[in-house]
Amino acid sequence: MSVGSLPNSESEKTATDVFADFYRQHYPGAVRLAWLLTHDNSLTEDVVQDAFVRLQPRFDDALDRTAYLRTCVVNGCRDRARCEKRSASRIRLLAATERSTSSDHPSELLDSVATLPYNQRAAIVLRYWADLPEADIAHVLDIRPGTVRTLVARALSTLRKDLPT
Amino acid sequence: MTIDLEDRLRADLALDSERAELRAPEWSDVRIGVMSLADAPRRLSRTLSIAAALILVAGAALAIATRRSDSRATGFVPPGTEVPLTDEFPQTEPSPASIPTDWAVLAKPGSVQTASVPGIGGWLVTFDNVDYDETTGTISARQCLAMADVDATLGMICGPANNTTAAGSGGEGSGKRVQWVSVPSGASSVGYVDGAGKSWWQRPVGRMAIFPRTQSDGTFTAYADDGTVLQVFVPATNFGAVESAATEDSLTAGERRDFHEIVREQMRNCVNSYGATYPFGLIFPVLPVDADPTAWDACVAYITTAVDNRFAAFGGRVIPTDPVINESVDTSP
Repeated sequence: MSVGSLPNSESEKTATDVFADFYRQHYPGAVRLAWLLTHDNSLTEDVVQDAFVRLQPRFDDALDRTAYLRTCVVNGCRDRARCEKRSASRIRLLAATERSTSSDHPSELLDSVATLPYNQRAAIVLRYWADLPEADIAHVLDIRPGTVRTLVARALSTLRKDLPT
Repeated sequence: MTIDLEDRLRADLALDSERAELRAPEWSDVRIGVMSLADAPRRLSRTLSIAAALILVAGAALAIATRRSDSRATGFVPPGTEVPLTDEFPQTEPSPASIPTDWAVLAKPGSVQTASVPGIGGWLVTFDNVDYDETTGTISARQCLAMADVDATLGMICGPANNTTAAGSGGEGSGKRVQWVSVPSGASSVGYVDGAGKSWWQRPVGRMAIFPRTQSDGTFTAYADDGTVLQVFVPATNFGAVESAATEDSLTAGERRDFHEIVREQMRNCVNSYGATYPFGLIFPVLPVDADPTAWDACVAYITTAVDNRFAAFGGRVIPTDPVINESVDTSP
């Protein structure tokens, strides 16, 4: 039997199968990333679902599907964070909110991370959890690499001040 | 010994990431298997486009009904006095008794139940969402509440589905039939002029009328026993007029987006509190069949009131309190 006649299971997969495989493979990572940025399981689920929905039409054309998905998740979390912040500020006028408390975070350090401005928080998560280089972080956040360095430096400075000596 | 801050971040973030709930939502695999994700937003937009168009159609129908309230309809004669060139397209099954009893509640006359909310770059409407499964010959109808802007559906929730193997569907698929699932309850017959200009009539069953589909959809007209026009129903027209009406807002893109997000959260929270799920791979939450019978109406009332109150409270304008909200809204990805 020639090599050319061997069934190629990959090529026989439908586009839907390929996307399903990608979904299964990358769903956990996307959820973890969204969780680190929101600490809200409901929001996390929404953001990740939306991210995959956004990715699918571009799935065949995307040069880097993982990067695209990551960008969708980070942007989705940022948008949700804005709304949550605004919504929470209004709700506080009427009643105490049920938002997450510091007990949701496993450490004092992460409590401080959660209070950082969104771009700084995202830069920290992408740098120290996703282990991305500055160029990739810059691409995700749509900023210059130099700005990534500034964001990370400011975030680290803030975190050092917040931590007990 | 001092542990480096960066090392602590790596360790704590890794630990924290393990606390995320990794269970895949129910809809994911099903959705990927049965439905093109790429089509979903387009489908919703198209559905909503139809719904939005119905706002205008309802007004037109009301005007027509008013004009004709004391006169006999022209161009169509009720059963018993059929005229040439008007063919009956009878529904053969199921019998009226087999139609779900709450169908009439689900598919209310006029389809569009709630007024639009102008000035926020979108609409909040309730409408009948109808899907046809060509494989099983099943029509699923559910009442939905959606917020949309010119480009897309921004949020959508739906009540319980009401399924039937549609009368007269003949299993020929949605490409061969066009349905009207909310025929006025007092209608004894429905006329239909298809896209090719051919006239049909039918006795509605379960408040549903169904006719052969032509290349372009035609116009339904519901008649009372005496020939009075009760309602005219056009599946989709004048959408452009609705679009242009939606641009009369004064809010920035960021403010609109923020407003929509808040409303969407309220929509989801309400139906979720009644046990909504994502069946059949849909990307919007749907109340289960066994949900509290009052849930849907309660959520529609809640969301409508919430939007009205919020908009009124803002005096028609959202006042930003966070400078970040004024950043341009990214569109990609």
